[in-house]
Amino acid sequence: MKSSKKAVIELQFNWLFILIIGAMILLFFVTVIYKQRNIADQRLAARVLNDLESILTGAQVSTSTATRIESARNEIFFDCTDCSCSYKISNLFGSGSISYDGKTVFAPTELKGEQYLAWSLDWNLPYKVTNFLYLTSPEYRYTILYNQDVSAAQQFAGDIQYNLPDAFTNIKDENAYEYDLDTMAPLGIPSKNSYKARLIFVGYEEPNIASITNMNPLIDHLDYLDYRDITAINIMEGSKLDYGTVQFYTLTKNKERFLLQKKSYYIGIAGLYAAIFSDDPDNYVCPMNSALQRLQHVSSLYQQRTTQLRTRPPPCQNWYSQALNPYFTILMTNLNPPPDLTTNADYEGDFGNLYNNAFQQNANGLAFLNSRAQLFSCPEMY
Amino acid sequence: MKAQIRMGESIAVMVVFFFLIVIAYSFYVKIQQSSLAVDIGKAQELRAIQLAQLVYYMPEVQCSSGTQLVKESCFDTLKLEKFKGILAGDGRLFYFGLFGYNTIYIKQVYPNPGLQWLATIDYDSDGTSGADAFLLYKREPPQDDPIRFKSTKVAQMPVALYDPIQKKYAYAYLVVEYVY
Repeated sequence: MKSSKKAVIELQFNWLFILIIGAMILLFFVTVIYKQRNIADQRLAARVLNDLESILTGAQVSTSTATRIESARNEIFFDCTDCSCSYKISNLFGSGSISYDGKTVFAPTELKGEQYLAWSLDWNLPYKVTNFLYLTSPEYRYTILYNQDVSAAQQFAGDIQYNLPDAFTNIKDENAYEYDLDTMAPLGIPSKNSYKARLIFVGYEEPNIASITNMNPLIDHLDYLDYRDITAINIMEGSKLDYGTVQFYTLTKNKERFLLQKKSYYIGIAGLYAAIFSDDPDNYVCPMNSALQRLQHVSSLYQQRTTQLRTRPPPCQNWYSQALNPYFTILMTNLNPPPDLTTNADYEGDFGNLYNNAFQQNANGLAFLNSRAQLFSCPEMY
Repeated sequence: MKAQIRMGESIAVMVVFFFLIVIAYSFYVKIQQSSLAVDIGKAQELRAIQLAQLVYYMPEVQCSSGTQLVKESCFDTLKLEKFKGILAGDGRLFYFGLFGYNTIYIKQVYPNPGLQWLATIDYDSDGTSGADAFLLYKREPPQDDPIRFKSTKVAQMPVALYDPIQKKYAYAYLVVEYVY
């Protein structure tokens, strides 16, 4: 009787022992698996980050190239708060924000999806200054709406689509819709799955968009999105592919009104796409200011180089002297310091004038003198 | 007594089992660490090459002809001289964002730099690049950082130097010393 009681205790103790040890073994393997999974995720995220870094560098190197990057379902966040631009990748624990480091990258605040789209375009004024890199996702929806009352608006909308690379199907293959903001006629835009949407208005005046009180007919195809995920840009009436004025809008919480965030400007078609792909005005203005700073340095370099070339005998000397005064000087002084594209009152409302005087005329003048130098076998200015 | 022996056996087996698992896991972690170190090394090598590529294609140094025509693998000596001045002056802060705490120089290999084949470039020596090299950019990393800036990767790329005044070429290579 005594020994059977002992056996029962022993049996129970054995089971308890097995249970504890079993639990420990299970816990051990679960921990190992969990850690391994995290490591694998981080490795994948690091690979995406490396790919992105290569793309960012590649964009500085080669122009007009469009690529698709496998994202491995990682999200990337772009932020230019206080003009300190950086990006951060999800799933990469312990990795802080990575600075743009002077690179001119234009991207939405959040990149998401199976793949990312990347495209680079050079920015010439008239000499090459830098390359702009645009990033977006095929799952980011863009809808172009043009003002039917402005004759050039439809052509402009078509040009925006036409100049994009084939990989950007989320804009290129979409229809551009003519739309009357006064009547708010239903559009019948098909619904599609996307994580964010951007409405691109072409040819509207500022009060027209800000004063709309019932957005429903316009955004009913985006009903499934949160109000924070819908933004808009208006390429204002009178804008051209070379230069123009843009307005950045967000949506109110009840989705009934657009709120004007910032008014800004673009120079060149590369600048226009920069404004379109940046859904936050800071993500546009800050890298753009960096590009303008670089323009100053590049202009200064060419100016100094041309000054040295002026010691050449005539006729070369003539072309260099003409170029130094006023062309290079104007290019540099108008942008010294680089204007804050949003707040500087000197440029407000008169950007067309600034562009025509400071950029277009000087660029044309320099291009002419450079071709003359080339014709006379003189070293070129740029 | 028998039960105690059996229990002792079980515990001994468990201890050996866990001991083996710990050894196996520590081996695995070591392998992971070494493969991570290889990955980090590759990534830094890639960064050095990326920086070299960045310099290689900069409009500030590249030979150019008009708006669109850019001669690849060619540096304009006049541009190099002026760009060096900008890097040390107004552009110091701006280009630090692109180049960081690294060293960039161009070493001429043919003709011998001593022959002063190209008149528009001044070779200098500060102990880093040597008398036959043109030191474009150098920024010393902070010495008080105990972890970073202790290792260096070097990337080299062949380049032609072009003197636009004399219209002469020389062979050289671009050297980027990437500190991490």
